[in-house]
Amino acid sequence: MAKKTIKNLDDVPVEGSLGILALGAVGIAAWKKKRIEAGYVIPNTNFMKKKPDELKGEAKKRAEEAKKKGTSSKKEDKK
Amino acid sequence: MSKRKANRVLLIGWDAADWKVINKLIDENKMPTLSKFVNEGVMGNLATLDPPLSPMLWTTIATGKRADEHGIMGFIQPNKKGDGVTPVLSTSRKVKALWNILMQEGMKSNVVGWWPSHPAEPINGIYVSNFYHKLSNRVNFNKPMAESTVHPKELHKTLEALRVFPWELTSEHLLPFVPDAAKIDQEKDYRLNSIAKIIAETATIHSAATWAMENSEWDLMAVYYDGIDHFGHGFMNYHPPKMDRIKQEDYDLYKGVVEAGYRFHDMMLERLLELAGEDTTVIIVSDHGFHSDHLRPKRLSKAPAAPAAQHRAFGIFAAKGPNIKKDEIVYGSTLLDITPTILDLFGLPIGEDMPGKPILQIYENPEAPDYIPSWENIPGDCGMHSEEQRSDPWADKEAMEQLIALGYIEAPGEDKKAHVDKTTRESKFYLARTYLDSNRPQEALDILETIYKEAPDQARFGQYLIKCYLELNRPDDGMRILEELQKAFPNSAAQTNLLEARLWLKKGETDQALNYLEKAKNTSKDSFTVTLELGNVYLMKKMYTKAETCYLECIDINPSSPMSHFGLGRIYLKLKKNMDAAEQLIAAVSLKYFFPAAHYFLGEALLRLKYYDRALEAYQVAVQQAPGMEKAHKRLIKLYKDIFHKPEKVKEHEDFIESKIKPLKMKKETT
Repeated sequence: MAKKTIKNLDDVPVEGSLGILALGAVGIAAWKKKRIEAGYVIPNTNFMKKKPDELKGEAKKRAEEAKKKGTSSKKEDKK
Repeated sequence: MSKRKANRVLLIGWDAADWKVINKLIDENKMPTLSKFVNEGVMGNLATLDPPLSPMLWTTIATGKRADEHGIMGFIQPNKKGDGVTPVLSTSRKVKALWNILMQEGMKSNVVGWWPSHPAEPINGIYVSNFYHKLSNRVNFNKPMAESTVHPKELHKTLEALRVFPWELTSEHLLPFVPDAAKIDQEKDYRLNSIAKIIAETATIHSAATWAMENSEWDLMAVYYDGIDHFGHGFMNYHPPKMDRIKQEDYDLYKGVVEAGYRFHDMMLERLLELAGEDTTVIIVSDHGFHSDHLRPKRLSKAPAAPAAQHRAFGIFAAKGPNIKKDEIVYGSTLLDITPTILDLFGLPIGEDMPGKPILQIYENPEAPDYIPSWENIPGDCGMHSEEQRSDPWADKEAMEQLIALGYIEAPGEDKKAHVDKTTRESKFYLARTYLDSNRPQEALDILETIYKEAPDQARFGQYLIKCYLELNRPDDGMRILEELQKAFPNSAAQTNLLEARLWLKKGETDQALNYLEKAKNTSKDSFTVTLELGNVYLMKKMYTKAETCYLECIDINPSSPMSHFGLGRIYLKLKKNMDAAEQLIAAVSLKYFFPAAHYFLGEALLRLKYYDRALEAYQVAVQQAPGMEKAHKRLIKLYKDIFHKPEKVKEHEDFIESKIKPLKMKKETT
């Protein structure tokens, strides 16, 4: 089997990049290792801060409120 | 025995990849790796099958069999107990996949992410199932990997550690997709979340694939990416040009997501090609395309699998490697051809029970392929699940019901039962469509009659039943169902007008048909199907100018419709505009190679133009595709007699008509 080496994996940025993901296993492993070595804390990015169950719960709550008011959530969106 | 043409084969599946999007990106130099790939290899359309549902189609790609043979029907199936449903599983596949056949021939395969492929099959190679990359969005939550995701089991921990979770991604990953992500109010808009999930899942598959390529010996490496399809379903409506119903702020935020998805796949392709090396034959395929322009559906129905309406009938095919032509286009391939092509690349015979053919046009020096009756009968370990593990979920369900009726087990709760029944009915619908798609209406009939009776609230079951009656030349039965549909669904006039027109046409009443088509045209002016049908009826009634207008309108709506070019070609033949006719008919067969009537009429145009060699070729293809086409045999006889002076060929075709076609005609007349 032909092993291919990637140069400069030591320079992987702790934030990662699409280019690193595209390198596949070697890039991803190097990125994960780099994060640990650098003590990098993954920022709690807004798009990930809620659990799906929480989101579902909120959507349900909004739908119920809209129902009480007699308006559908679609109508609210339009407004 | 056929010679082995490939040292090894890398088969890359890009679900829903479409040349319409790719060509534009290549022109703008945004997919440099694929651009170089097609310049150094071949490319073409890959016709999909109906129904265009990915698990069914990817199983066809890997087995060379249609769904009625391979057994995967839709997305979900009843579970083993029959009291609920599960995603479709590899244990439901009834026939050998490429990797099973290769194992029997002593070759090694790696399979990553194929749909469906869970639980992992014990093949001689690395097998990572399609449950591997299904991740959770929960922060800091490393969802444990399902058992039987990886074969061999020793690799479980290694591959588990290589997954990428959405919460690990940063703005570095997200901003190329949504440059203005900071403007999004994420309390209300969760779409960044789904982008992160698709990127992470795609990277996870790529991680396992590249690891397997680097750390094992292989003859076949098959890897399946679902990212392009997922980006399409989530974000194609925001892709340029802007659709009327899309809000400007949404368009501005998400217009680049689909493009970024393709570019990410191009980056991953570069790595795959680097790992494969120049001596590997690489094939890239998609199971269907994805509407990206004015053909994007404005609304999706609420029926199961409705998003499939966004799929386009042509996927992509591209190949590169030793002995493969360079910078050429191949025509007329379908999903059914991929397994025969790969078997031929390995110098292995093709099963006569595989309805496809090897794509010999790809080769610099094509050779005749070998055939065997079937691979299914070849004994020995092929790495499939054991008979006990393999199951027919539909039969399991029947068995379950029998057990309930006999009082052996308790009936499941009403809701669960309804869900299972619905799933079973849906799968039967897909099976019926598979039969219709392969010209077997008689086999579809019972199924459609049953499910329409069971669920008359599903207009699509009735519509397909009418289509089936049309195929079976039973317009009166079709009319009966149509009346029921018209009563039950008074608002779907355009659809029922179209069906009614087709039924009148079948009854030979062209005036009535025209009347309903014109009505249908009034209710849905930009409908491609109605306009095409209208063109066909005008052509039948020799109203050539009106027919031409309809076909030209169809080409405006969808330039890649073979039927519109075919219709135009026939009009130009009638009008003796032979060069124009030839051009249109060439366009038709380029878009759909398996099209015997188009090859025949192309022969007619070329004959009139005195291009005898090419006319001969066109008639030959027509009789290869439709051996019973007597008029094409007669043209060949005339050409061989008068132009090419080959009496043995004249005799061959005369004998064929006498021994095969005439007896059939007599039998038909008697019955």
